[in-house]
Amino acid sequence: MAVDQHTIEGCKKHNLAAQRKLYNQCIDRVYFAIKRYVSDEHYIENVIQDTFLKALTNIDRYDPNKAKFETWISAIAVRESINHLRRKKFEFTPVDTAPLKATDKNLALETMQAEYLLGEIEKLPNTHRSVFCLYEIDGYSHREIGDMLGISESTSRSYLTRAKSLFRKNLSQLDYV
Amino acid sequence: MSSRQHKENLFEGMKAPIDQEKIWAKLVEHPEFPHEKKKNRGFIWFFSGLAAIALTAALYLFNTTNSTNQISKENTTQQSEVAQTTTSSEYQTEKTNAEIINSAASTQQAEEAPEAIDIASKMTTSTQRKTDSVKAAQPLHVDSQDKIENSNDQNADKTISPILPLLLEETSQHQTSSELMDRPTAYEGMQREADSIATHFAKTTVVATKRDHALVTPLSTLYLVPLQLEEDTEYVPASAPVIALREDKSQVIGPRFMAFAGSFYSQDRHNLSVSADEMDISIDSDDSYSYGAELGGQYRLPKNLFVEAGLAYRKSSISLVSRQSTVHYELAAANNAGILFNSVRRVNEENANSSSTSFEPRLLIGKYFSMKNLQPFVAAGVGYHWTKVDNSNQSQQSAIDLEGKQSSHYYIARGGLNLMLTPTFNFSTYIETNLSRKYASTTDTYTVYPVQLGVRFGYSF
Repeated sequence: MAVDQHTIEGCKKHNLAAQRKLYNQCIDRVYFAIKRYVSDEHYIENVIQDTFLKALTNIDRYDPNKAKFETWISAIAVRESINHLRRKKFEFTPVDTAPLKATDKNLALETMQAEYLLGEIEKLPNTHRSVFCLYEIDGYSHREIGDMLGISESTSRSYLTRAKSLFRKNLSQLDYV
Repeated sequence: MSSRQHKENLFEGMKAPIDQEKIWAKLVEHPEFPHEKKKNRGFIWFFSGLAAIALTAALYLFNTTNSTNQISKENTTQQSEVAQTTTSSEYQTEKTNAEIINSAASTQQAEEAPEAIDIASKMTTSTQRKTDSVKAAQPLHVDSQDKIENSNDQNADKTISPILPLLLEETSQHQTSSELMDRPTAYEGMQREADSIATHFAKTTVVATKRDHALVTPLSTLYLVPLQLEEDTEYVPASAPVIALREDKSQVIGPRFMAFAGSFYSQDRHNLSVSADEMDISIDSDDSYSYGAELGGQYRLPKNLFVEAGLAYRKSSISLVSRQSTVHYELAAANNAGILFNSVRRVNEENANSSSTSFEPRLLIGKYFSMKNLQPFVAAGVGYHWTKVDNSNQSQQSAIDLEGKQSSHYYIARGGLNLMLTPTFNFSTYIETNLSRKYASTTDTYTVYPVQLGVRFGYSF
């Protein structure tokens, strides 16, 4: 269910009922946005809390003409997740920047169940998972990913290629590819 | 791009396996959670303090006015009483004293001069007491001056009660002088006593004039009258009113130099907008304010103009929100034919908090619109701020990164009210804004739009 303008206006006035309604409508989406980056359930709760605090305190800055509210709060959730990883000394190890051999086969993401997809993403190492989710799911460019994670664009590309390779390998065992 | 079709998030409709109630309970209890009745305590405290100061000033002014009225009434009463008393009994008493001295001087010869000196001293002490009583009845002197002015006859001065004792002394001395001429020692002793009294009055007058013009000026003017008589044995009636007029004028205009100390509170707004092809950045204030203290001096120029120089010490708390609107490509669909993306403009918000300390020399020129007790004024000027960022707390991806040290000039526009509590103390309150005041960040320079309220106390020299 999409968050309506009336709820947003109520949140701007710090109305508790409106805040609760917004929370109920967005919690699932926020959870899965964070889950793509943070595995530990305990930390997920903290990041959820940080995400809603930031969204509710800065809701005056939300512009409905530029994006849906769900998109806006998901972006905050992704940023908070990345911030959490950085606070937890999440470091990227250098990888071989030579691109792997390309394959003609693309990932059949549409045909798989979302929970399977999430499960397979969680199997990826932290570094690979973050780059994969930021690029493939949340749509950031390699340049933006590099800025966010403090790595170069080429490193980001390498991580993505390796993540895809690992992802494909895992999926092949499930006969998805 | 046109081939890309929108598709809802892959995880749409999935239920989060978490205790939502527990997270909500934690969220609501969090200190940063925006509750409905959030108050800006700093602002409330500032206005509470301002109200308290204004109330104190009003009470002080009220009491001062009341006591002044009461003193005026008492003085009016005393004036009539003293006038009656002086013109009858005191004059008679003094006359008797003079006769005693005359008698003592005529019956006791030169070899009894020491006793004459004692008597003269007693008379002088008596004169001192009378002069004290004159001091208590200051307003009477104004009338007395008029009488003095209209009289060329020294005997007529006897009707002027406050200066009567001194004039009587003069008269007594002149009456006795011819008889004492044969006794230079006794006469000189009396003369020395009279000189010491005159010196004492002169010193008292000077000190008191410096201490409080308003109360002592009329008194000091009259004290000068007998001193002048003492020196010249001839009174110039026009001189006293001239002095009084000059002194009164100085009271109206007020002292020319004032030192002041005050404090201020400023609610600041910041704004910056940067646009690129696929990215817009805007930086706005979240909750930014500053407060501080200032010291300085003000010199009053002709035509009610003034020039002011001061140094302000400011502590600032800056809370900024940067909003970056960028174009992203979300995964729309993926199949064997390829991965499709949906173009979405995404808004990311980041906070940056910092505190800083500034030193700000300022120079203003302004004008008072009234020289009464309540003086509205406006001023404009220029300032310069040296700012050091004490600490900052910002996300690592933030577009806001305040530089460690900043400095720039800015312009000042100010309006306010000055309340004269006494001729020397005053209380001012003002509202001020600054133009072109800037802070530098690593990405750009943004402008501050403050609304500043201040209070100050001044002491005039």
